[in-house]
Amino acid sequence: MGEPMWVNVVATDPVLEAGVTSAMLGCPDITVVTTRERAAVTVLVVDHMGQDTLDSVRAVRAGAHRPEVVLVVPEVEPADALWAIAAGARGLLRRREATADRLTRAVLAAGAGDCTVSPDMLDRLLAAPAVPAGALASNISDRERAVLRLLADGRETGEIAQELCYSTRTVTSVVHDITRRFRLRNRAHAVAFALRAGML
Amino acid sequence: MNGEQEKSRTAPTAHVVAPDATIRAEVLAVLRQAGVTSVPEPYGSPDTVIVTAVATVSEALVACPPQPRSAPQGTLVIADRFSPADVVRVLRSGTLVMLRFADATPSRLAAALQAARDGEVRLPHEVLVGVLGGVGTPHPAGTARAAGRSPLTPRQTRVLALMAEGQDNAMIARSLLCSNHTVKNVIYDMMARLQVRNRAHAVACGVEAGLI
Repeated sequence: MGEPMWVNVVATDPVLEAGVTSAMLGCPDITVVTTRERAAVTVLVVDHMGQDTLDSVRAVRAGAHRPEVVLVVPEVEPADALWAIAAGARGLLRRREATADRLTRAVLAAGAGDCTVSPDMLDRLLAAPAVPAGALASNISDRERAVLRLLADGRETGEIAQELCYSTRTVTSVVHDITRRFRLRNRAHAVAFALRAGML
Repeated sequence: MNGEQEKSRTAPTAHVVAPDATIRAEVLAVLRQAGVTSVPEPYGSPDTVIVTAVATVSEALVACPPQPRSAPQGTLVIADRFSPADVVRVLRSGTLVMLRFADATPSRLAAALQAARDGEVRLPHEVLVGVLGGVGTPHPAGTARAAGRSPLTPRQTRVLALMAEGQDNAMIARSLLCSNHTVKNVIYDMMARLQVRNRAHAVACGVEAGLI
């Protein structure tokens, strides 16, 4: 193993934060830090799953070092799990299954770039009636979808502006909004994400 | 699944199933770098993980027989292309750990082996997004192309997969341990083969055709 991975904990209340922190203290591959500046992974512990949870995930991902997020929630519906993972969470654990062992493994996997859910949750996700095709599509406006579609067709900014009768500045700002909102690195990343998530 | 008591178990070994000789040699090389012993016998020990290495995840269904979840043998699939429908089938067949070729560094492969041995779920982020996103109906172009051989070399596919993650040339060069110059050349050839105009177009073409 190399250096221990730097991990910080963000929780809605101090008891949860202390619990999660102590669960990771025994792991030699993890150093729990209190500042979020240099953490490779942030464990986000919330007491309910809602739109604000997704905002929190995105806010953490927006940090300077783009930390990976492991989300610990009380309970989660399959549709919410999809949203959380699409928002950028790399690990999703229900609180009652977040044993020290599970938690550290999920954190180390996220830090390495992989995504984990518990086998039990995966079963539920696969058994759940399929989320309607393109459920994520409602997350972007028609204008954004049109721009993304043209990007996927290989058009440049000027061509998109002409085709949609926008200024090139508008096109640039639409692309910028999308990449910011979903924490994407560039246009190629945005196009791949939108296609895979069924947005286009 | 009883993770607590399995923590202290010995390091996993690997039994490699790869119909393609080149892919097999590459996987064996990474395993060696990771210090993992590869064994000829798949069912010799509960610590042996069956590693199936294929180009598309659908080939894994053919190459590796389905594993009941209760079986002690862990399974792991390494592939270049993951179509959501096939990923679901592989997950249902009991393989819960998948890794992209492009990501198969010694440390990640070692971590994936451990997860597979311990019955955990470990997947590339975009593969999970694809499965959950309900993109179960592949694009028509994708089904047509998926039947034939990929127009890209394994290396081009890897570069395209990294581009789809938003990596720039320098990051791709670091991931693949080659020079910026090589990355540029690979991309140039790949774009010519796909007949695409730019990076976003290349990535879209790759995703829609099920190449990445």
